[in-house]
Amino acid sequence: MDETFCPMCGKANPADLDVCQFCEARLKPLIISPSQNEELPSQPEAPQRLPEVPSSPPSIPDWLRDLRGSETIEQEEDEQDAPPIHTEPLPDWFNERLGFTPADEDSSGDGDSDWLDRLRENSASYEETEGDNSTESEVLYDEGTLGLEQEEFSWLDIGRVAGTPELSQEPEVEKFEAKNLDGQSPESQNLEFERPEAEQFEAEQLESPLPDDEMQGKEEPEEEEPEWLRRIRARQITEVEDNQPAEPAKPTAIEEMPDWLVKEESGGGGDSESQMPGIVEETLPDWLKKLEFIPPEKSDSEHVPALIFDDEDALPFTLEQDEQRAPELAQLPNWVEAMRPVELVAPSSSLDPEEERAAERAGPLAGLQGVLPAETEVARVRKPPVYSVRLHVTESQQAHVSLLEELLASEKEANPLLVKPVVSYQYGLRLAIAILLLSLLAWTLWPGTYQGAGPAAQRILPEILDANRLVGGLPAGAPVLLAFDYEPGLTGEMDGIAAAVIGQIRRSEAFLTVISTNPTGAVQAERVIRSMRPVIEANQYTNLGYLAGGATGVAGFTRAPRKLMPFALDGLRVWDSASLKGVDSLADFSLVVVITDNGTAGRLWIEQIQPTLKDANRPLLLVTSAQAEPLIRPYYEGIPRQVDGMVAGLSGSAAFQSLVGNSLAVNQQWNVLGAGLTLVAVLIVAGGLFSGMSDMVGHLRWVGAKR
Amino acid sequence: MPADMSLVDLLGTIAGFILTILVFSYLVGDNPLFRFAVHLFIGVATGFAAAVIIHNVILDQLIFPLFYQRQAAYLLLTPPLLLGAWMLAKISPRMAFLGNPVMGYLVGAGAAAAIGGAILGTLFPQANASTNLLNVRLALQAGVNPGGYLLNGIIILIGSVGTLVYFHFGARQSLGQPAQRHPLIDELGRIGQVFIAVTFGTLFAGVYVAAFTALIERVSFLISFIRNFLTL
Repeated sequence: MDETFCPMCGKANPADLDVCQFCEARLKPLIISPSQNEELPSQPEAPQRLPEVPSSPPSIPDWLRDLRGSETIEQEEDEQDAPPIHTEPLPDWFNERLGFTPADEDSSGDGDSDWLDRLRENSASYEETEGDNSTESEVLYDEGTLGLEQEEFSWLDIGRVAGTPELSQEPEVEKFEAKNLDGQSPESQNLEFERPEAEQFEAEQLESPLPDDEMQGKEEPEEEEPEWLRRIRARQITEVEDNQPAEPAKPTAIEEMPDWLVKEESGGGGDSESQMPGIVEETLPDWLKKLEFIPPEKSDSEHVPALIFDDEDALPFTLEQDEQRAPELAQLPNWVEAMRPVELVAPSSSLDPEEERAAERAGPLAGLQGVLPAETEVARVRKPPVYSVRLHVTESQQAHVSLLEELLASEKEANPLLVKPVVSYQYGLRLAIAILLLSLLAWTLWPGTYQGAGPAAQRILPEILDANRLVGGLPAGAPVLLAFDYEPGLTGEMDGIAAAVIGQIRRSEAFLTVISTNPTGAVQAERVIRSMRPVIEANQYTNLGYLAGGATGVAGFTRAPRKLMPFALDGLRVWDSASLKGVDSLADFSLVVVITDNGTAGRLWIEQIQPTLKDANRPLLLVTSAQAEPLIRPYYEGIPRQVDGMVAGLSGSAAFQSLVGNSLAVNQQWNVLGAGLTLVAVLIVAGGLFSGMSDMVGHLRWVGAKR
Repeated sequence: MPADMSLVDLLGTIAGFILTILVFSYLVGDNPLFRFAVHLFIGVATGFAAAVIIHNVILDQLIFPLFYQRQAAYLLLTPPLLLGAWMLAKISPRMAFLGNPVMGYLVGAGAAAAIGGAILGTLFPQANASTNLLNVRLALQAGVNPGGYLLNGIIILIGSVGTLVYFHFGARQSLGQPAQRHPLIDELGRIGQVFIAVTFGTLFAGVYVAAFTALIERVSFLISFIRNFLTL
């Protein structure tokens, strides 16, 4: 179903309606009855071909008729000299400037309008190449072309081919007056309808006289408006919205040209393809006459007419040459191209090129192109721009990415583990040293294999002498406290040392009282005492057992031994015996002997009991292991002394036994110890030398490799 | 084998021989035999200690006096009995807080005894002894060579001061330079470092000698056992 667009609101309406169903504006203008103007051609509903131009309409003024007659003669005379007439369609820029669209081809049989026919032919051929861009305006300009034959402005004479130099010198422009088809002004007619205000306004605009500066010269009789002009006006008002094509209509060269331009003659005859229409040849300078109008297909620019001189020497260059001289596109470096993301992601300009803008479809500017839009750019509904989401990655970045991927992949790979040798050189070395040492000990301990000299008697240390003095000066039956505080691990060392001192104390017939802050100490003391020979009788000693509490227990035992240890290890009450009857505190013991293998225990006893013993002037004897001697010796060598005597290690025991005359049992151990220590000393020195030499060799190798 | 050796002693000797061999097996590396011997020793020692504590402490020092020294023991042993029972609350996690006062009393008493003994038994006497290192008169009274005594005192004094200075870590920071000690203190620290090294060496030597002595005893035991069995 055909639709008609309202000139006011622009909405589509069925074609059979006369009034817009939305705004009630007239869709079809009211047409004056054709009785007054019988010669009016029928108004076509669709774009039609140009109607035939009547040869001599009765309304043509005499001056126009005369001009046409002279035109015919002049055309024949100047046919050869006439510049070639361009028969091709005018370029778009030309049409856009003037607001014209090429018109349909319409052959005219009138010899007076050959140039017009040629223009039409050109426009027809232009339409064939460019497509059918005919719009309703063709009809309008059809009428316009008709009207041009009847009446033409003074300066149109200039465009005619060499006919009227007098007219070209003083072009006169008729004053344009709005009149109806009958030549009557709208005010003098009784209109059968009431035009809407907008339509009336448009009509008034069209009917209003043009400014004087635009139209100069020739005056037109006011009482009579050319038919063609009236038809044009009517068509413009009523048919601008009819059958609007989807694509904006490109103004044809003929239809959108003003009447005065369409009627121009370029001088008739000649090569119409190469002749610009509407230019009087005689008035043109020579260089301008040589201009050749190139059809659009020959010219790449639509905005600039492709003017080429016949004589290439006239101008320094031609368009084709100019195209060859066109600067080459600069090839930008990669980093510059990478810096212009705007071009990649920025949306295309919302501003359409001028040639792509659609013609205004509604309002008083209907049919015109290039007008300011009534709607704001924001309100226009258009397809949103497409932003590029492609990531631009340079080569260096790609290289970095690949390197990072390699690093991450290498993290997943497990490093090969070094296979630890089952038998290392350290294992072999340890076994060798152990075998060597055990062999030496076995050889020296085996009876009859090794006989040593024993410790030298003259090298008895003062602490041994003091210990011997203290032990030998004990009265018979004197209570002596023995504190057994060494671990079972060092039983091999401490048993011999303790046995030597205990044996000497037993000779003084003192009463031994054994106590221990170690749970196993009491049992060890019991074993040592029972292994001594001659055997110590049960009534010669008592074992109080385990003293709990550590330093607190020792401190308590120092002040109240009866209360803290009322029973012996065997459960008997020993404090009531004759030996311990007078013992109420630690100061009541004649001698306190502390047998320990570590300096901590020895320091604990010294710190807790020494003040009490000092006040009571009671001696304190320490029997220690070789490892505790460095920690206990300050208590002996300090002035005033806190320890009155000390027997430390196997050497001290040997010296003590040799002092008391019991060296036989110690000699064997002393000899083995000496041999073993000698071997150990040799091994330590050899290992140190080997380690130093290996470090030195490694350093020399490193220095050599560095050089 | 000696004739007077009883069966118990014989079994003990055999057990000792076997255990000694098991401990010596550590020479070839850690093995189940060695671990068995270690675990056996720990178990036996713990059990024996428990037996000694129960018999020698709890029964003899707490329970029996209450029964045999009733009136005098009540006042003296009742508080320890109650505190010991109160400390048994430590067995339960929910009631462990009840044993905190007892633990506090024990810790406090032990700390007091230890600190008092350290001050009165070591700190003061040793400091007094250090001041007498250069007292020649005391040397004469002791009948010691004064020259040797004086030299000994100087060495001991330098070593003691240097060792104490070595553990001084105070330093001054100047502009543009890292924090460092005074040069004099730094030098004394170096001297003290030498004495510390000598001390550690002496301690190591003493430990080695003690251990070697124990090894000698064990090897002798093994040889005696072998010889005794060979003579069987």
